[in-house]
Order: sequence, then C-alpha cells, then structure tokens
Amino acid sequence: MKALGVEKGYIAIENNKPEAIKIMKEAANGGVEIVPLKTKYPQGAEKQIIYAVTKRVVPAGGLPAQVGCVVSNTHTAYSVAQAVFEGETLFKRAMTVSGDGVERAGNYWVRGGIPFSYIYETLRGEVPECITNKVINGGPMMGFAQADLRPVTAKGTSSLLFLSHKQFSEVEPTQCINCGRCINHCPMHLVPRDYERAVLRKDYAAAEKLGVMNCLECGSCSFICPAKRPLVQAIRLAKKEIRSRGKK
Amino acid sequence: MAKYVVSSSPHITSKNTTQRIMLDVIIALLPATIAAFLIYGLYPIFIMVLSVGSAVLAEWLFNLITKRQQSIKDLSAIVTGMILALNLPPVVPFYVPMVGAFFAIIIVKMLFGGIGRNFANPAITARIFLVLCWAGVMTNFVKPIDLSNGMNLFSYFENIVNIHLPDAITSATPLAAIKDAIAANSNPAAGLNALDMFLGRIGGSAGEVSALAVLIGALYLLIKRVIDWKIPVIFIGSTVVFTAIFFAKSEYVGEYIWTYLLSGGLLFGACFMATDYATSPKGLLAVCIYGIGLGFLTVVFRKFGSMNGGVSFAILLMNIVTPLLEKITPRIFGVKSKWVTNCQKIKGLFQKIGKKKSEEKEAQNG
Ligand code: SF4
Ligand code: SF4
Repeated sequence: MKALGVEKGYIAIENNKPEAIKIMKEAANGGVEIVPLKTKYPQGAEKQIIYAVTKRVVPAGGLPAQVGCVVSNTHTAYSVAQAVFEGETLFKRAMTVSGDGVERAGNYWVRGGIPFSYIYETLRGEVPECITNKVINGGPMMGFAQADLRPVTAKGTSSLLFLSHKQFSEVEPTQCINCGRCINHCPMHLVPRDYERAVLRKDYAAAEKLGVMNCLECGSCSFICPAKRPLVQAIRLAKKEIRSRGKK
Repeated sequence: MAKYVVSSSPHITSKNTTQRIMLDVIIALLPATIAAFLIYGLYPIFIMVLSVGSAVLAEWLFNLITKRQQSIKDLSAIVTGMILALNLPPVVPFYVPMVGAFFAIIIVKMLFGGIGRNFANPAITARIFLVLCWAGVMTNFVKPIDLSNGMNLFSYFENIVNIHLPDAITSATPLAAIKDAIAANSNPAAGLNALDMFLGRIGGSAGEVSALAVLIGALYLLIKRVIDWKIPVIFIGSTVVFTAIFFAKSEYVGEYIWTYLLSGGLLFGACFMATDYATSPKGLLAVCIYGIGLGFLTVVFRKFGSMNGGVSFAILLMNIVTPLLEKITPRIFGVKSKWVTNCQKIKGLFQKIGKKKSEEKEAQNG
C-alpha cells in the first residue's frame, strides 16, 4: 500500500471459507478490510473482483489502474513480502495437486524446475497409471492439457490435475438450441453464441464487431452450454485470427 | 504420440444437456395433460399420442431423407407434439393432430434448420395453420365430462372422424362469451365461475383450460431454471395492464381483467410457448419489449379481432419480430452504454450554453 500510495486495501475471500475469513479478520485488525465475496466463477478475474469489491467498472480494453485499483493475488503478495522483508528470492510456490489419478492430493510447496513426472510419481501412491487420462496444468476451467509429463514447474504453475475419464467431459456437441444460457452467464456480458456462429462462417470481422476481444476465455459459456458447443474454443480461434490480421 | 487426452479448456462442463432440458419440459407438461384427462376423458390423451407420434415420425423421416444426423433423441419433437395436442380442442378428428404435427416439424422446424433455428414456435404456427384449414373443427369445444360415471372416460370416441360435432355436446368458451359481452356491453363474467375457470371445468383447448395445472408445470420449470420468470411475468402483467387501459371506460373493468387472465390459453402460452428458446430474445431490454408487445397484441386481438386465439397470433407475431430484438445485444462489461454517453454529452452541451449565457449576462451587467 505504501509503494502504491493508496489509502485503502482490501482482501477478498470467498464466503465458502469462513475460517479463513475469521483468521484473516483477526490478523488484519482493521488495517485492511476483509471482504467476503460470493463463491462464484470467475470472480477472481481482475475486472470482476474490482467490481465486486469497489463497484468500480474497468473500461473495456482498459487497465485496472484507470479506476485507481491494483489487484494482486495472495501468492504474489506473499512472494513480494518474502523478498522485501526476508530477502528470499522466488524459488518455490504453493501448488495444488489433485484429481483421481493421485493418492496424496493436496497443497504442497514445490520448487521451480521440478518435472511433472517427479510430482506425479511422488504423489501417485497405489493408484495405477492407467487411471490418469488427462493432465492439466492449471485449473479445470482454463488450464492447459499436457500431452506428457516432461514439462517442469515454473513460477506460474499453480496447480496440476491428474484426471480420470470420469472427471473430465468429452461429449459430442449438438446443434445450438438458442437457449441464451451462454449469454446470460458471461461475466463480460458478451454473446458467445454469436461469436461461434460468426467463426463457423469464418466471418471474423463480425465477431470483432460484436466485441469478441473482450473475452476473458474463462470458459463459463462452454461449461454451461446444454448443447455442449465449443464456444471458448471458437472464440480463441477468432481472437488469434483477428490478432494476426491486425499485425499484417 | 500424446500419452494423455489433449483438448482445449474448459475441461469440465455442466451436466445440463439439451435432452435433460426437454425432459424437464415434458415433465412440466404432465399436469396439464392429466388435467385434460380428468376434464375430458381419454380422448385428448389419444389425440396427444397421435400428435407426439407424428411429430417424432416426421422428424425421423426428414432426417432420413435429407441424410442428416438423427436428432429425435434430443426429445424436442415430443415436446412439440405435446404442446400441439394441448393446444387443440379436446375433440378433433384424428387426422388434425397428425397434419398439425407434420406441419410443425417439417415446415416450421426442420426446413429452417432444426432445433434452435425455427423462426416461430412450431406448435403455435401449426395451430394457426389448422385454424385456417378447418376453422369449424378448431372452434368446436366440447363440454367437460361428468367423472362420477366411469364410462364417461371413453366418451367422444364416436366423434373420431366427425367434423361436425352435435350441438348437444359443445360448449361456448369463456373467450367467446366475453366477446359477446363486449358486443352487447353486458357483464363479461356473467355465467362464468372463477373457480371453474381456475380448475378448468370450462370449454377450451385441452391443455389450456386448467390454470392450476399450467401453473404447477410452470413452477417446476422455474425451479429447474429451464425458463426465466421474466417473459411470463411481463407478458401476463402487461396483458392485465392493457386490459385495464382498453376497457377503462367499461363499468366491468375488473371482470374483464380476471376473465381475460384465466381464459384463452394466456397462462399456457405465456409459460410454455412465449418462452421457447429459439424464438424469444435474450437481452433484458429485448425481453421487456417482447413481453410488453405480447401483452399488447393479445388484448388488441381479443378486443378487436374477429377470430379467437389472440394469444397464438400475438406469440407468432412477436416470434417474427424476435430477430430484430436480438440485435439489441447486452452491454459489454466496462463499455458505457450509448445512452449514458449521450446523456453526458447533452449535459455538457447545456453546461456550455449556461456558461455562455451567464457570461453574456455578466458582460451586459459590466
Ligand atoms: S469465455 Fe465465454 S463466458 Fe467467459 S468471457 Fe469469454 S465469452 Fe464470456
Ligand atoms: S448456451 Fe449453447 S445452446 Fe444455448 S445459446 Fe449458447 S451456444 Fe446455443
């Protein structure tokens, strides 16, 4: 807060963690305000959290600083504190390992540069290897699927998921029934249905006009779609296409 | 070769599927179906079986002939068939629901690209088509049966191919009675009983007569979040308001309001047909315009139209307007609405003018 010259600090915690809220309230002792937030995805996204805490709206395409806010996640804050007060450099991070594929799922301190295969073998326990069908670097909504276990942990690796067939969905998309759920659930108030239609027509300019570049790629639209349309997937394609055209 | 499945995120999806949604709609239509059975006996159920069967068959055949992927397992054809049957008079010749279902599925739904692409609600359009083809049949409503005699459950089967129902078993619908009342300037509620109308012991279309059954089904859909409350509530609310406005001069405003509310399939249309996904708009503003338009048109058709069935005409018309309303997209998070920016501009303009004026005044004074 000092470095930024701001007057007010908030710590936002989801309200399904009442103990964390209680402990943090005591620790903060009124210095910073603890705000319990509704447990709702994707509340953690920068613009959404600013709106939830301060009701300020970051302009589309703008930065949080424009409305006088800086958002920092707990891990960044912790690392900064370690560096400034303890003089410790960033070489390890808290990481969540979970999924049906590992026996000892949980939160661990993991150093950077550890191969995923090492983590997997250490925590797998008795679970047979064939259980793991999909490995995700990141969360279930936005993480990246890994083809094998050769990559190593980096400072941004916040979680690793070893999922069994039951845990991830692989369904055939059916025709859009025009229900509007994707539109009603988009945190950015976008129209994913129309982007997908534009992409299927290869009409990227139309998608851009409808604001596709504002998409967070949070995945809510694909998650909620009853016809299982690959909406974010289409949006990613559109964004890539628009960006490469812009460069030309 | 990749050892693990690689795909783009999100890696999980909700359990909700098209099939599940359609199943919920079918469940929600059951109370109205049961009510039709209790009020008119087995004949409407027989009609419904024909209608659903033809709808499914039509979709299956269409997919077969055009070599498309079979889509009947998404259950939407069953929903269309049920809604159509509930929209028909309880006693019609057997071919009426079959023609209607084929029309609804092939012409209105499949030719436009199948589920989600139809330009108007298939069941509503089919009903209007049937009214135009067989006006006599579609406006002949039978009397509720007397359940105390079990044999009555099988009544009306002798009319299976009969286009002209004998006068002895027909009954006027409340809407027709109200229309006569408008002409004669008498009390529209005379001879109508609110409880009978609420439970459905009146003449009318098979599924629309019982307000109670429709409301139970609608409640289920709301709880399951299959439909949103806004369209039905705005539709019904604006019907009430417009009725009050149009009949403000009449001494029977109150009677008009409650009889209109409980008759002519308003509740059924508002809950099950106006909320059709493909043909209703999505944004809040668009939904409001849609709902108010529905209410307005319903009252206009009922008061000034020569045919009964104002609700279906209103829904058909608003369905057609929907693509236009869909142009009103929701405001992107973080983008100021044009309205706000325009207001700010106007405000700025006035401030400028005010400043100029005061400067001029000062200049004059000085
Ligand atoms: S991924 Fe979908 S829901 Fe999320 S911001 Fe983009 S369009 Fe909206
Ligand atoms: S959620 Fe899926 S089915 Fe519904 S409108 Fe969006 S893309 Fe279509």
